[in-house]
Amino acid sequence: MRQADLRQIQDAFAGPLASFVDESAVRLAVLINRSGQVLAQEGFDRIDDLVGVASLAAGINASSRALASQLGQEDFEHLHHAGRLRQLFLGQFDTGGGLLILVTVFDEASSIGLVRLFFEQMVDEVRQLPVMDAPPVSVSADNFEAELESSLDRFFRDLMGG
Amino acid sequence: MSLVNYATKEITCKIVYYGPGRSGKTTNLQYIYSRVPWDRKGEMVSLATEADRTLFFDFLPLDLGRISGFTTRFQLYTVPGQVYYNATRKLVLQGADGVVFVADSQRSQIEEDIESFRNLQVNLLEQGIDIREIPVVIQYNKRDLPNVLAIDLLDDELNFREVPSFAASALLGEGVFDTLRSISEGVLRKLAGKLDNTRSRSWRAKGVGNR
Ligand SMILES: Nc1nc2c(ncn2[C@@H]2O[C@H](COP(=O)(O)OP(=O)(O)OP(=O)(O)O)[C@@H](O)[C@H]2O)c(=O)[nH]1
Ligand SMILES: [Mg+2]
Repeated sequence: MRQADLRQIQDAFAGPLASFVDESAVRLAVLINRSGQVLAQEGFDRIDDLVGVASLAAGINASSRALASQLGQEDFEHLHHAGRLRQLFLGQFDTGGGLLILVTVFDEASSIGLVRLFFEQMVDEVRQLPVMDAPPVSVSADNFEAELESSLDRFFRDLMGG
Repeated sequence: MSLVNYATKEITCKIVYYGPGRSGKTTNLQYIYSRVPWDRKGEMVSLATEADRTLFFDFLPLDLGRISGFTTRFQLYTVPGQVYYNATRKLVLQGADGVVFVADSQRSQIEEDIESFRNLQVNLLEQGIDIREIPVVIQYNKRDLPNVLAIDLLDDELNFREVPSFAASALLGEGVFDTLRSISEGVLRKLAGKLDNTRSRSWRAKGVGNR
């Protein structure tokens, strides 16, 4: 995937995530939904790394939730893994748009206390984002379907041929 | 569920390769990975046991390019086929937009195929999805082996809904892209219907302005 794609991913969630990264001084942060789709990110140079991290984090989150429920435990609020040099923090929260997960990596420039503090702040900001009921761009299903066949032809012809 | 971002014009869809243990799900993704040019794919993530059996999932992100102005991305996942791993299989199935059922064509494996297909129906139902509502494609894999059942027979056992089905030898790459193309089309056609009418929720940040 192209480098330029990274910049395009950022939209609504970019603001709250950027303040989180600034204030807590973490190195990497990515906001994903339950399926591991990326809503915003800070600090990744390569989209390959980003989607890999996102899919793994969604997997960890899903399995921790399932494990908690099988053991009859309350759902965890966050996961924290402290390595020797770097630490990983996974925090989940509910929003009007579904469950979201923050994955962040930090080192001695930050601390778990700071991360938790500014995570709470970010959660509040994200929850205040207005939900729009209608897409700002109207899309014609007919146009989309009409283009579908030729676009897929092109994609698969490239693959088979090259 | 597919994620449509109207602001950046991106579509992301999740396709899950399902089927009994050792039917060739991981082999499908490995072949796709080996043939797709670097600028159209991300890294493949595989969580496997030492014996190369899928433990949690394989994951491969693909970039199909633009359709009607939308950058279209697919996330391919495989489930662990072994009966034992049903709990993780359910997790991977969550939010799937389409399913490729990879059956093992060998005569000796038909019971496993049928059992796995039933398991798919049950696990979808647990998520409130009737298997008739979601795009499904069936792949009859390992056609290169000697003791395989005829396609008609396999269709009788597994394909009572008459969804698209393909003969394949994933190890050799045969039928792999036909299968992928078919499920891609099914998923995107279904999405097209939702694109312009249903109210879709998306978010906008304070201060980001009207884009
Ligand atoms: N002969 C032949 N062997 C195949 C074919 N596809 C896969 N295999 C082999 O079957 C074995 C299992 O393949 P995998 O792709 O790992 O199977 P899987 O469905 O991912 O299995 P689990 O991860 O346990 O669910 C491997 O040894 C593959 O090389 C095929 O088309 N023909
Ligand atoms: Mg596998």
